[in-house]
Amino acid sequence: MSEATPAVRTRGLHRHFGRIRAVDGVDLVVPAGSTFALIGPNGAGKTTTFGLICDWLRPTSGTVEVLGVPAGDIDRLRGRVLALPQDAVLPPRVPVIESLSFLARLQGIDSGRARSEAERVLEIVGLLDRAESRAGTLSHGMSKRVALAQALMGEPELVLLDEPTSGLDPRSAHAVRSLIAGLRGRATVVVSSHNLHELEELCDHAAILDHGKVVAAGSLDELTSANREMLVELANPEDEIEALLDRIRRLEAVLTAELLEERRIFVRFQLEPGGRPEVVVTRVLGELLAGGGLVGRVDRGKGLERKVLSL
Amino acid sequence: MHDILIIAREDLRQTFRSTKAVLLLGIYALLSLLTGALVILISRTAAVQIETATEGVELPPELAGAGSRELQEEITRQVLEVFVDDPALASYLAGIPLVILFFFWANRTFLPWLAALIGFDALGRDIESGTVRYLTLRTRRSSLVLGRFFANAILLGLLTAATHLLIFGFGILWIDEFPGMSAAGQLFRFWLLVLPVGTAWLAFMLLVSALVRPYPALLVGIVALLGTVMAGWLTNFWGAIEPLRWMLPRVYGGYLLSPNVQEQLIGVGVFTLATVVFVIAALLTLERRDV
Repeated sequence: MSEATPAVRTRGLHRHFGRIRAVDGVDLVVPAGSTFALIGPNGAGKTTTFGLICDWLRPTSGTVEVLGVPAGDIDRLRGRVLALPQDAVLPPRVPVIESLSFLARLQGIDSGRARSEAERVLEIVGLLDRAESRAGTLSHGMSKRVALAQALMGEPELVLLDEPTSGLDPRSAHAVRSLIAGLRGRATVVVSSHNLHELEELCDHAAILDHGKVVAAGSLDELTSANREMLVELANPEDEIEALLDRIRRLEAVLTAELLEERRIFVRFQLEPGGRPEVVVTRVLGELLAGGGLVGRVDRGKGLERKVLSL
Repeated sequence: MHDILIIAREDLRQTFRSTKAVLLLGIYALLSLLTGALVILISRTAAVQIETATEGVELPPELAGAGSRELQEEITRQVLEVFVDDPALASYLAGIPLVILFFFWANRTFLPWLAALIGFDALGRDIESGTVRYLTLRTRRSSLVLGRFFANAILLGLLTAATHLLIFGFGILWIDEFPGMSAAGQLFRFWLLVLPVGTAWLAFMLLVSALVRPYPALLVGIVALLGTVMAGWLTNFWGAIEPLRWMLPRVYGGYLLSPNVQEQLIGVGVFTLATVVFVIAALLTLERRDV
């Protein structure tokens, strides 16, 4: 697959369940090498889109290409695409290591190496000591980590994770997030989640779905205007803040600066060609500090949550 | 083919490590033993009755000097003639030990139930639990269908082979004048004839399992269906409806007993064809449906 070939491309994708249009004309491009977030409220069509990409669901119309070939072309995709389904479970009476070894053999890893590969991924998710346990005896969190382990076997080029941290305790969720972050640069990762802070932390691209349609898509910086806007929370009295606003309005890159409620100032700026937003942010902060500003908090862009809520 | 073998092997391994295989073998072995016991009971009762009835009676010339076994064979032939409505077939069957005939009949009758117990969740359990999603990312759906079918066919073959062996041992140990070697040959032939019937039912179960998602409900539905079909057989309801008669597996199951090789081949051919049709239908169903 060339760099220009997206990891996933859908064209005019529809999936209807009776009268319900769960996916209604989705055109999606997941750039190769990205960590991509699928965002949307309940019923937005995230899981259905996910199922269509994985070829678990048949589209009503439209096409899905995965790594440059039609979704479901197992002969060309075997071992290259793996996924964590939302609610799937491994056979409850079979030891975890055996289920994973079986899946490894099925994805083309030879019998001699299948068990060691299963052990490797169990170690990654911190469950090597439970390798001989039957899947049915594991807690919800452990089951989720085992399910994640199967999605890491071999060297997948595309990993799709549907709600990878839902139902996990904070420690397990953190471990899973670290695992996903560790995939960056090695595989394209598509993550579907309700946890916007988590997605903001992990992902560099996103698509926001609502009522089965893509309402916004692009890089996270574009979506959150992180390259154009910043929000600063100050602890100064309001009359001092007005003076501080005048100072930063004089900066060349700043287009507008206004006071919002709760002593927060909203700054919109522009970048020179090839310019870095960090430079502008630092200049604004420098000016505020020089003017006696007491900075409580700084956010670049409007944040994914505000972006989603604004749609 | 590689994937089909991996799936079949894993499926068999799980079955033999679970209680399922033992349970199925137990049920079917019980059936064999009951058949054997029933035959012993019938034979002994018949022998006593023949002895009582022929005491001081002058037998027809063709039976004069015949022993209890020959008389029993003749009576069996006459009884079978009533059932099969074919004197040549009745003569042929009368030469087969009664226990083997009964066993074949019992096998043919209860095979759909065994196939239902083996295969009712062939695909449904994976679809219901979502495990199928792990599998379909790694192998073709057709490999999954064929792998499951072959695993179940091998299991059915082994279970029926075990029960045939059991009935052979039963005959050797408890039935007087049981013709060891020729009975072994008959049992082996009947086992081979039972396989296409069993695989056809397994293929049917595979199709149903690919169609219906909540498989515990499916099992109840299948039991109800088979019960209805069996009640129809027992009351000869289906046989009375002429075009339907030719749709019945029972008709072709009867062909399997024929001394005529051509008729046997027709029987085997029909069940094999049914197997192929049901497996292809299961393949197409799973290919087209969501998982």
